[in-house]
Amino acid sequence: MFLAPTPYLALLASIIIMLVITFFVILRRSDA
Amino acid sequence: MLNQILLVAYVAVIVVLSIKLRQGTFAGFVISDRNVMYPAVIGIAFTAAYFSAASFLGGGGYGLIAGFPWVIWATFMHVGFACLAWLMAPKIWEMAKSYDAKTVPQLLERRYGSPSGRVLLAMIMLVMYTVYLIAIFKGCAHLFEGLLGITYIQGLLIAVAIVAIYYAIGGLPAILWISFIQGIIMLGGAVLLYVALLYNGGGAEIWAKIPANIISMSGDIVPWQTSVGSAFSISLGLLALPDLLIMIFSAKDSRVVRFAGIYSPIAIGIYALCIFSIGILAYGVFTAEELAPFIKNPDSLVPFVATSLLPPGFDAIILLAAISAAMSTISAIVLVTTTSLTADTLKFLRPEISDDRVLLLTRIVGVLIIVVSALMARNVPELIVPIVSLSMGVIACCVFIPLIFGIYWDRGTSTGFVTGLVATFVSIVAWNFYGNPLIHPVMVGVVVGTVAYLAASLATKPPDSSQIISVRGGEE
Repeated sequence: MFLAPTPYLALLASIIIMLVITFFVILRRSDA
Repeated sequence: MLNQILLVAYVAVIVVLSIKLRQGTFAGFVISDRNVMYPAVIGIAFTAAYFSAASFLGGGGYGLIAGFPWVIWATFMHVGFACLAWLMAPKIWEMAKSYDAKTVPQLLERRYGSPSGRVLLAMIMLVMYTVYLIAIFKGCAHLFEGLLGITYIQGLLIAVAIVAIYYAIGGLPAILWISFIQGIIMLGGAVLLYVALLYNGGGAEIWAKIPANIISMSGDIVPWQTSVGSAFSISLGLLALPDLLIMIFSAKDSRVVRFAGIYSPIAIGIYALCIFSIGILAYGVFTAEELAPFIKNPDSLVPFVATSLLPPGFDAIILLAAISAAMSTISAIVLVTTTSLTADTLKFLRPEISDDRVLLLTRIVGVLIIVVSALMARNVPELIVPIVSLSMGVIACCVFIPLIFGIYWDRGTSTGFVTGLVATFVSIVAWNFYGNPLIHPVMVGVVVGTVAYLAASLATKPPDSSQIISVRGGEE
C-alpha cells in the first residue's frame, strides 16, 4: 500500500525516533 | 459579526489575564521571579513564542515554491533542534540561577566577566530584533485586515494596542500564560489545515496528485541548498534565541524545565509537520491555475486554503491562530529587546540606577519599541521568510556559540566571547552581500564565529576558575 513518498515516511520515522530518544533521556534524569 | 465576537472574546481573555498577572517588581516583570511551576505552560509558550506569523503564513506557503526539500528539512531540523534545546535546558536554567541572571546578555556577561560583551550583544539584539518585529507587525496587520475587513493601518493599530496592554501590565508572566493559550489555538489551527487538505485530497491518494518536480528532493524553483540553509538558520533559533531562553529562566525548579522538555518538542513536531506540509499538499487539492497567483505571493496561500476548504466560521479560527502566532512572538521579543536596552545597556552606563526605575523604563521603552516598529511596518518588503531567516539567525548564532561553550567548556574567555560575537556578526553580514547565495550566511556565521571564539579563547590567559560556576554533574 502506498502511504506517502519515501522522504516523507523517513521524516515521520525520524521525528518519532528523535522524540523517543529525547523523552527517554529526560525521564531517566533525576533532578539535581 | 461572528469574527468580531470571536476577537472581542479573545481580547477579553488577554486583558483579564494581564490584570490578574500584573507585576510590580523588575524580577517579576522579566523572569516571573523564577516561580513558574507548570511545565506545560513553559513548553507550549516556548513553542508559540518561537513560531511567528512568518512560520504560519510564510512557512506554510513556502512549500509551494520550494517543494519537498523545504518540507522535509524544515520539519526535520525543527524537531531535531527542539529536542537538543530541551536536553540542554536544565543546564541553562541552572546556570541562569547560579549567576542570578535576568537577561541573556547578563548571563553571558557573568559567565565571561565581560561587560563590554554584554553591551555588544545587547546592541546586536536591539537592531536585529527590531527588523524582525517590523516583519511580524506587517503580517499581523494583514491578518486583522482579513479577519475584520478593516484597513491595513487600522489592523496595525489593533495589533499595537493589544500587545502593548499585556506587555506593559503583565510582563513575562502575562506573556507566558497568554502565549500558552495562543499556542493551543495555533496547534488547533495547524492540525485543522493539515486534516482539511488531506481530507479534500482523498487521504493518502493526495500524494499521487502532486507533480513529480514538487516531490523531488533536488528542488524545483528554489534549489535544495537554499531550502536547507533557510531551514537551518530559522530553526537554530530554537537553541539560542533570548526570547525563548528567558522562558526557561522563569521556571521554579529544574524538574519543571525537565518536563517542559516533553511538551515542547511534541508541540513543535506537530506544528512544524502540519504547517510546513501545507505548501506541497495544496498541489493535491487545487489546480495549477488556482495556485498560480500564490507562486508570486506564497504568504497568502494559508488564508486561501482556510477560506476554500473549511466551513464558514472556521476560517476565522485559522486567522486567529495566525494572529496568535504573531502576537506571542512579538510580546516575547519586545520584552528581551527592551531589557537589552534598559537592563543591559542603561544599567551598564549608569550602574547606580534603581530596579524600580529600570522597571518603569522597561514598561515605557517597550511600548515605544512596539509603536516605532509598527510605524516602520507601514512600508516593508513583500516576502517575509528571507528577512526573518537572516535577523533571527544572526541573534541565534551570536548567542549559541558563547552559550554552548560557556556551559560545556571552562576554557572560554571574555576575549573569545567578544571576538566570537564580532566575527559572527561581520561574517554573516559580509556573506549575505558578497558570498555564494547557495550557502546560507548563518551557516558561515556558525563556522567563522566558532573558530574565532576558540582561537581567541585559547590565545588568551585561562579565566579564573573561581569565577566560573560549574553547572555540570548532578545527572551522571
